[in-house]
Amino acid sequence: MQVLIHLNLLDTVIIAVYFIFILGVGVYTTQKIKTSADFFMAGRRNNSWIAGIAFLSANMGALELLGMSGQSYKYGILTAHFYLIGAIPAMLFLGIFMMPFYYSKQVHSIPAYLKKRFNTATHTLNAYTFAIMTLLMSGINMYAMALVFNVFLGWNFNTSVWVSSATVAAYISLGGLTSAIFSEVMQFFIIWFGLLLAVFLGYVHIGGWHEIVARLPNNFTHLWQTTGHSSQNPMLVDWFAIVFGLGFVLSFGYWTTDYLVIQRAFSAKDMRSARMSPIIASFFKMLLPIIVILSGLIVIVLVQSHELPKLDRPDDALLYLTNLVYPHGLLGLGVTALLAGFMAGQAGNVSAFNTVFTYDIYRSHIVKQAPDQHYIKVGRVVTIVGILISIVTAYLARSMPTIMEYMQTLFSIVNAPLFGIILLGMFWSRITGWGGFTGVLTGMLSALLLYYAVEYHWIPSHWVAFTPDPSVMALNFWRAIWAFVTTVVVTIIVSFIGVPPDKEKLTGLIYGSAQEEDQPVMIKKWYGQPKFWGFISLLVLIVLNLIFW
Amino acid sequence: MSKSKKSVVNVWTLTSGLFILYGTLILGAGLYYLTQETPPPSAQYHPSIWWGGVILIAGFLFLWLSRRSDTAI
Repeated sequence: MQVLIHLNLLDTVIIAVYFIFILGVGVYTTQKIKTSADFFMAGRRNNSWIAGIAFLSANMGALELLGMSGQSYKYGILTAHFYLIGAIPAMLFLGIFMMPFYYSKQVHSIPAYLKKRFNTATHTLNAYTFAIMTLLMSGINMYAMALVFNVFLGWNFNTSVWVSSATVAAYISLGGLTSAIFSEVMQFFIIWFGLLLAVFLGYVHIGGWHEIVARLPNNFTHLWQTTGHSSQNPMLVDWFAIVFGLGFVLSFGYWTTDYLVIQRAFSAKDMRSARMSPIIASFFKMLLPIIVILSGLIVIVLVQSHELPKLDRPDDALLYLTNLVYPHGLLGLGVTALLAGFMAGQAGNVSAFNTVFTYDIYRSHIVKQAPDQHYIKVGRVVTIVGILISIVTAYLARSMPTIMEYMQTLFSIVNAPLFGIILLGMFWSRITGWGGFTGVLTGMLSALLLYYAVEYHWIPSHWVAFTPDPSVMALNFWRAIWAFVTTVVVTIIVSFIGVPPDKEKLTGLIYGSAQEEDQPVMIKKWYGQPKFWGFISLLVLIVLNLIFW
Repeated sequence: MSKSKKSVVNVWTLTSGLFILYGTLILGAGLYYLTQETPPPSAQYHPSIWWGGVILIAGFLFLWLSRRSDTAI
């Protein structure tokens, strides 16, 4: 790949300063680690703003920055669905309905909740599949970071992978989740201040929204107008797949069950803060399309006017825009923002991995009774091992056409079935432990089978997606729907074959039985309630969909 | 970690330090470009000056926030 630009001394200093600060965070926070709760749960002391910003920042990895701008370049404004219907309802549902169960003193992780609600088999299956998925996701972030180094600095891909890995390994193994959250909050603001200006300058340069609408086809600039039939839009999806595949199964499957983001809410100091964190994050989530969606559209216009070459890889869109509009200094900041986003994603996956592995695999099955300090040491070693394994997965990501499609494939296999059993288990007491285990296992296997069946042409793709020539994204949406439906059906059938669970043992684990410890006595004002702000967020979501209909 | 003691250094402190440093560097770069006879094309709207200023102001806002914050560390 040809180097786009040579960074000067100022750019390099700006990047180096960031690495120094991040490593400094690790060194500083390691002094504060006294217990395993400090290392794995950040001591559960954060307010809702810190937990909320970290909640979103953990998600703002390579997927958001490169992947989404690449999707926007490829599919237009339809990509914004991932930030709107594909995120907000699920985030609000998590904060308002599900957090009372998750945050209760009984559980420290999603696998731990599954153990209490269902059985050890379900817990173990989820722990292992989650561990594998986080390593794969960490590899994606690592790959994206290496891509930036390769494009901007001309660094060898392999060297870039090792540099980024060493940095993340250092500050996460030192400070655990506290270090990760510190860096995620810093990275959140760096991303906004480092990339927003590039989009604004590009927007002004091309002539604004009017120019985008004039130059791009209609189906690139409308969210819903061209989703009546899959042939009407570049993503080749219809509204049903968007609403139920993305908006329900994939979205809820990720935002309500993925421990990577939920772990940040777990670091909150009390129940109200835990419930507010995804709600606060939802507002910032809806702002992100300004950076990632708009940048893709701007780059399309720049390519059309020959100010940029046609992109070989859609994921390069944001890189090219930043390089075009930024002078030195701001260019260094833009690169730092991209690196910050990647490191946040990688660190998030690694910190979630080390927690699930240490608590739900190592402590549950291997060494069950050891001093607290032993588990901190294990967490640190596991961090290093996890980084090394994810280096391998970085090379897997390199072979996929776009990052986003790779991510959604993983989610359809792992998260969609998991969401099925959690949804049933959390709201229906009749669901049994073995029902949940059988359902989630069957769902995962069905998604995997469908993936390979289409990949190797055992079955035609329209059998899965009900459209003659579906895009990879459409297939992901439909595969998620099938996996979810399979999970739900099998779970219910097996549950009804088995003995109903003891309802007393389900106290605090199903809806309607959670203990009300989330509202301190003084917060009785309506504007302090999570439900109020959730309603406001929902209103904003609706308005945005109407504006860009 | 102590639950009763408010920390002098918290996440806002570190963020403010980073932003004050970045704002100074970028603002300085913008002022430098003003002295150049042929500044780079991307500097024509002087983004380094006004955005560097914005980052610097943000850094001081974070510093103010760090003094009021009740974050964990």
